[in-house]
Amino acid sequence: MDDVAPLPDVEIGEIIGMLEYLKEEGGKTDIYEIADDLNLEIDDLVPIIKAAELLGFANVENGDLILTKLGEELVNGDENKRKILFKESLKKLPVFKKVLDILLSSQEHSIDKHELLSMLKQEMPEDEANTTLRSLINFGRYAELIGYNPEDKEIYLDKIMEE
Amino acid sequence: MEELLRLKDVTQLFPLKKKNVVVLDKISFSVHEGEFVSLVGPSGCGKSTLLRIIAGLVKPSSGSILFRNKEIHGINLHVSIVFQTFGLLPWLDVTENITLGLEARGVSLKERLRKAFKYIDLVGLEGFEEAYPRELSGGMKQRVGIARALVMEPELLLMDEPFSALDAFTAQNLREEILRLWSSGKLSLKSIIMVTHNIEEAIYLSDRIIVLSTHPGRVIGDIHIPMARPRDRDSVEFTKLYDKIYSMVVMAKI
Repeated sequence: MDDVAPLPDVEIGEIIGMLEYLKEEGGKTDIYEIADDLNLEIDDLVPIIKAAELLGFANVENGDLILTKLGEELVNGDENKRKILFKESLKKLPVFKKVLDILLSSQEHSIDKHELLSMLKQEMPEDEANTTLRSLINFGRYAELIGYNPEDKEIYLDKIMEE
Repeated sequence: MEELLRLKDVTQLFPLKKKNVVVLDKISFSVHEGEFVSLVGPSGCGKSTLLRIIAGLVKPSSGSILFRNKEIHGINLHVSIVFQTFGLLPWLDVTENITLGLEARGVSLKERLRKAFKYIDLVGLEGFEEAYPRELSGGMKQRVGIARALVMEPELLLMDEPFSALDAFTAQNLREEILRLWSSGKLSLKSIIMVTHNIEEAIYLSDRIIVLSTHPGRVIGDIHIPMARPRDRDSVEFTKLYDKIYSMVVMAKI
């Protein structure tokens, strides 16, 4: 199994909002200046930056946050374009790869949420497993890659098969 | 552009200790088709009350509201509101929250779902159709709030501090989203009125800013924002407008 790194506990809107801000600043700005400008604690900013880096939308270099080509494409894109770029980036993350493998190989292309959580707990500490599951569902729903039915607590494959 | 809404001497009194306190004092202004108008003023200037009066949720003590030149009594069906605290029902999922108002108007299930999916798509909620509010971040909740207002296909959208319960990035993201929807031409909307205490936000979004004073609430400024979009917050023009409106709001408190 690949090294399954936890997902940061952030929202899609925070990531995209930060990228939009970054674009307005000309695509590059000092991380401390962002915090200062928006009255944010660095501790709150770091997970959002990490998520953007993980997805390939921004890079950190010498204390600057820099918008990547992909990040720029995302900011300039419409909602559908954004979802597609998100989807492509998510599919490259080990933790998503793993979940998609599980879903593809299971009979109904679905898995019980608690079952997935205990699998994640074997890879990472418990609270990170919890936030990773939350972000998995959130990011997956946004990218229309996976769905989650809160009624029967099943995580299921959404639209990966169409390509 | 045609006039959509006109307020004529709208006055609101609240009885307090046997004395009437004037909250809104003879508020008059018009909103035309195609305008994004912000109401800005210190807290307590009655701007949220004014929004409810425009929606027909609150009856003013005196004065009148005209919509397309017709006086409005009771709830205005051409108007929808987006609330600061989202106002979602926790026991309904995203789709059900969005279609609730249509159900109340007797729209068939098939038509409700068709419309719901149209607006779910427009506001970027695809993938979250079956989620419950407790599963959603503030930003996603407000997207539901916006979709729920838009699904009624209003001509006038009222927004009461729609971004002030959100973190900085999420708020930024949703502001862009609103501008994108507004300029997309895909909506039934003719005009937007937004209440905000955030001057920067008002300048960034609006075509016009109406500044209200407090105790009593009066119109003390009606400022046209001539800047092209997207607007640069660091530009000289933006900063000048900010300083001008900021000093009006500060003076309004005294």
